[in-house]
Formats: sequence, C-alpha cells, structure tokens
Amino acid sequence: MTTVQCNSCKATYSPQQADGSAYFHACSPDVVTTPAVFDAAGKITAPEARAPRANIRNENLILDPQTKQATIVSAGNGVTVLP
Amino acid sequence: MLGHTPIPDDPRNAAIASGKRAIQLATNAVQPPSPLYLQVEDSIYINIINPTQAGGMFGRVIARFLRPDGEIIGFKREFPCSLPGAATIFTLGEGWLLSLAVSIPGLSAPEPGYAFVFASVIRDTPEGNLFHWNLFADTYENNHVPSWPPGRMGFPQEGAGRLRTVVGSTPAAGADIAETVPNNVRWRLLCLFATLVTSAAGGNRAITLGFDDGANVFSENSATSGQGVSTTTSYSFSDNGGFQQSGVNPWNVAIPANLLLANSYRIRTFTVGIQAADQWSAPKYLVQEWVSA
Repeated sequence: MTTVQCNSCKATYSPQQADGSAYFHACSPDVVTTPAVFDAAGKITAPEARAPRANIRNENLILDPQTKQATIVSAGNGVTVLP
Repeated sequence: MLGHTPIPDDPRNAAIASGKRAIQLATNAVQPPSPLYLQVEDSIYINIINPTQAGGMFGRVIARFLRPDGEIIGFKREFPCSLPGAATIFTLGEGWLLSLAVSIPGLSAPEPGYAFVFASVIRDTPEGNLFHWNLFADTYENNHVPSWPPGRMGFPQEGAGRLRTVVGSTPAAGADIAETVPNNVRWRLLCLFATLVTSAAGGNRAITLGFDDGANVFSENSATSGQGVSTTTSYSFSDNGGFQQSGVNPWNVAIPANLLLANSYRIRTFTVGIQAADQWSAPKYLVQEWVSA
C-alpha cells in the first residue's frame, strides 16, 4: 500500500485502507509552537504554547455543484509519496 | 404394513373440490399492470452515495418497460460511480415502468452502510428536476439490491451500518492525534487504540482524548495518571463504562458510550506537556459507519 506524508503537518498515512476503503487525511488544527516547561520536580511551570496550523490539508471530498466533480476541501502544501 | 381405509365412492366424500373462480382474467385489451405511467417529459433520476469505498465502480440500472405497443423491453444503463457517488438521469419515453433495480458491480458490500441509492421520477418542468415520485431510497448490500416495486423508503442512517476498522495518520513528532469523520458518513466510535512514546525531556504527560464538532469541544476523557518520561504506553479508549485503569499497559480510558459523530467532527488527543520528540503512533479505531448525506 502507498504511504504518503502530508507536507503541511508531516503526518504519514495510507490513502487506502486494507479493506479497500478510502482514508481522508485532515491535519490537526493546531501546532505546538513552544513545548511545556517543567521544573526539577517534574511540575509544569509553563504549559506548551499552541497556535492554529497554517495551510491545513483536508482531503475530505466535496462535490462542485456546477461541474459535479469531487474535489478535496483543501490541498494545503500537498503530499509526498514515500518510498 | 400400514393400511388405509378406502373412501366410499360417494360425491359427498370428495376431500378436495375446486370451486369455480370468482375472478375471470381478461385475455384481450389487458390494462397495464403498473401504476407508473411515464410520458416523454418524465425521466428517471438515480443517485448513488458511496462515500468511502474506493475503486473503479459503476452503477447499473436494470429496468423493464412496457411500451404503448404492448412490447416489454429490457433496459440497462451503466454509469461511473467514483467517490463520493454519482447521479444519472435518463428518459424511457412513453409507457409503463414495470420494474427498476440498481446495483453497484465492483462494490463488495457484505453489510449495509457502504452505499445508499435513491431513485425518483422527475419531470421536465420549468422548475427543473422536481421529484414527482420517489421509487426508493434504500441501502445497498450484496444481498439487498434496491429495487421497485415495492421500493423501500428508508434513511441512510438506519440499521446496523457497517463495521469498519480505520488506521489513521501517524502524527509528526511532537504533535497530537487528530482524526476527522469523513464527509457523507456518520460514525459511532466503539474504541480507539494508540501508543505514545515519550522522550527524556520534560515531566509527566497528561493524556486526554477529546471530541469536537470542528470547533467546539464537547467531550474530554483523561487518563487517571500521567505518563512519565522515556516510556512507551498504549492507550485503549472504549465505552467500557466507568472502568479505568492506569499503570498497566495498555491504559484503559473510558469514553462516552454510543458516541455518534457527524461528518467533520474530530477525534483528538490533547497531550499536556508534550515535547518535540514525543511520538504518537497512528490511531487504530473501530467504528460503525453509516452513509449520511
């Protein structure tokens, strides 16, 4: 099965499941910009900072009402097919 | 030897007697049996919704049509049916529709929930594509081909749906899991399994599985204790009532029972304290899936 990497969020996945069904990847909506900071005792002194992810890829299909052709919701930065 | 008692030859002892038929069948100028008289302005509209099953499939319409000259003709039309479905419109002319069935060769559907088929009569009116008579709205399954008559009228979200295991995306290091319910389906999440490998940095990670409608989080379900640094822990999320257990791999975390999720709803982990080198595995989850469009 083909494995691809999303160029927007760097997640890897197979667009087709073992049973033949399609898998529609969608990026997580946010990204950790700064990891959490812990003190020596292991307690969080500053939680991680998150920000909305830019250029999200969402492969879910929508039908164009004019052309009746299916297109994905948003392409993001595309995908890279992994060897 | 089993014996039997012969019935005396007496007209009153007749065990089976056929009565004279009360109904006589005409053999000349027989009226058409179908209630569905079509004119040349009428067309048949077929819509197949096939939201998740990939592959080069096509829809096949088989119909029997009685022409005004009394001839019954067979009709077959095939049309491509790629994701997430397809529609076709055709006209049979003037006459009577006797039967119509729609199948999807190439789609192996051992249970309902794979595809849904809608058939209707539309008429060439200025308003365009108005449904005048719905023939059926029915789920497709290997042994259940939507057909008319009688034509079952149902909703795609009815019944047992399809049982499906999904292997999701492996997030990048330092990122959480996020899965989205595909368009045109409804899910009931039964269970989800994923593994988190933590790096040596930081402290305990607090794991939560949450659900949102694309914007609003409506459920969060947390493990009862944190996961330490440099450890590998699997999490089994399921609707197992109040049973939660942490400290034994895998950790069981309860999620709401019968959790129905509409399309665009999301399933996400929230890992408080996540570090750049932490790595979630691809989530594997079991869902009941219905067409919902």
